[in-house]
Amino acid sequence: MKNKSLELLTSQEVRVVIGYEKGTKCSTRPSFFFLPEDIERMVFDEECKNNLAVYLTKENIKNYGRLAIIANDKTLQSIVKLISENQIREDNLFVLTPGSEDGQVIVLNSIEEIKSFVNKSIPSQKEPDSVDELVARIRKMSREERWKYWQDEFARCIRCYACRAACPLCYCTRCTVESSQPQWVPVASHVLGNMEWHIIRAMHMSGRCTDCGACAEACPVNINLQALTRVVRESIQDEFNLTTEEYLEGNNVLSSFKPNDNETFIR
Amino acid sequence: MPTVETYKISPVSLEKLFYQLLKEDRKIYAPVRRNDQVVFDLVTRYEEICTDFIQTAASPKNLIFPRYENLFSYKKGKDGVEIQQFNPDSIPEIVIWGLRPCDAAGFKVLKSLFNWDYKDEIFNTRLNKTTIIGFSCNQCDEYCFCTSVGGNPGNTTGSDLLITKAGEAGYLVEAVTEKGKGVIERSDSLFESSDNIRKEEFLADVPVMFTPDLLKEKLEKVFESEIWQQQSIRCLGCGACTYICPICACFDIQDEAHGKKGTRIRCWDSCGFSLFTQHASGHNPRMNQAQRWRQRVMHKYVYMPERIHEIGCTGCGRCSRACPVDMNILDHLKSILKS
Repeated sequence: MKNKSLELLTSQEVRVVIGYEKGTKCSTRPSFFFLPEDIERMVFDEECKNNLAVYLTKENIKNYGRLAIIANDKTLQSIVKLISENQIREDNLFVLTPGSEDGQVIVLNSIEEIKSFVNKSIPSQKEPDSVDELVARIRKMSREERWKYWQDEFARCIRCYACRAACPLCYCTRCTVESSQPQWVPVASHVLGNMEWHIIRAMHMSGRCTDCGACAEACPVNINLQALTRVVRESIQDEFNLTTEEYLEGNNVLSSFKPNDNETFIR
Repeated sequence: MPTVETYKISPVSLEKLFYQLLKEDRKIYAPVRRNDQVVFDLVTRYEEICTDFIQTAASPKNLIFPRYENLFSYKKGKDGVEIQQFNPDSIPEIVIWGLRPCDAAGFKVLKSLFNWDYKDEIFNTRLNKTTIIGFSCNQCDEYCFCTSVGGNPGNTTGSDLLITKAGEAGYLVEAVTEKGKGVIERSDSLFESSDNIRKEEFLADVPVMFTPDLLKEKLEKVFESEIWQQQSIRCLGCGACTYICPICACFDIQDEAHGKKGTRIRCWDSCGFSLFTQHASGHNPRMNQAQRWRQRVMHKYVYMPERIHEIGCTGCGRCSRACPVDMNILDHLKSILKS
């Protein structure tokens, strides 16, 4: 990873490489590498969990023009989704991702390459994790119990918007909660304001969220937002009968319209 | 400054003190484990209190400066507007038990801030009705830097009582304020003479990295530096650091109207948000994250010392621990000093 990044910076094919460096304690953190000598700081291992795709839509980063990004699985899926939403220009981007062999680095620099790599590399079945357990528990609840569960969770929300800031798909330059005329969502972090914010976000994410978990990871009060994002993604894939490939590359199902839609209410 | 009185209390008596305060009809907030975090919450049983932690996830500032609060409510009628003012009697007497000295010191800074020119009645009422029982730190981590910003792990500032665990046999109790002395007077049978306990032996060792004056002097010279852009490039622009900070107190005023009646609400706000400084015209004087990050640092270590003679940071390290992209403030301050 370091060699390839160094090569791209030395040959001036890219202005900046977005990757990881050692962070506080044993963690790693996002880092930006502009000069060949910066590469010394670079690390890439299992601990590199941040979804770096979040930086690709930021104005100040886009202004650098050609860039390379070190991508873990979560970052790759977000990139495909961002491409499908016309947020990334392929001629500006090199994606560096680990291959199946030890130390192997795959360089992807066209949309087709990125898509086909992601489709091949995403396992069709994944191991259930703690989020799945929680989702199963929530699914067993009655409607009233579920409403109560999320009210209690969101009562803790301090509305710091770390979930929004950490999300690669939350790239709106002006979020609906920032509208003051009219004020759609109360600014105060009372239960009503918090419920409205999180419901609006979940709806806006439907069919777009890749369930990377960056929102939950960022939450300073440990609200398990991934239980919500997972249900959102799974429900959309199930209801619209989409393969992972179709889900990532297709249009946002809730905001696209087809004249031959099966439902009659829409015509 | 009243003199500090020192006592000793046994573990059994400390528990009794807790229940004595409960009996006095006070709500007690203390660190407890919830959702894989240590947070301040209402406690009614002594054994719920968590003591083995470095720092709670969020500071206890919300107990005195809530994340949203009603300032007044209004009703438009035939005879004009009827205003229902904030009622100081609606504020309960509370105890914050087991907070760290850096958080207690934070309340002193907030007090200066909320009395800088306008005397904020709501804030002052809440603070006056709060008894602050701090516990000294016997452990720290690499995020802690209280000793570089004028504090220390046994700092009495801001606490009414400061309690230091002195081995297994008991605790040293320092009654710092009249309010603290009142707690002791009301339960004096629980306290013994302090037997010259050497407090320093039981405190965490937090290394001094710099002095506030040195930092201020340096910061005044680097306003135009590239360093803000370099440091903030990974910042995502959320408000997590400011919301969990014991001192950040910027707020937004909102009216929630329902037909002819409504409420004016004070809500937390954050200098990390682009909207924070955006004018109605659309112009934004702090147009990028670098300028917002610079403002946060400058406000804490330069502007607040100048305006209210307090440092806007107590070195609790929360912002660094909570940041989703590890914007470690201590690292950043050290690299500014080196630049």
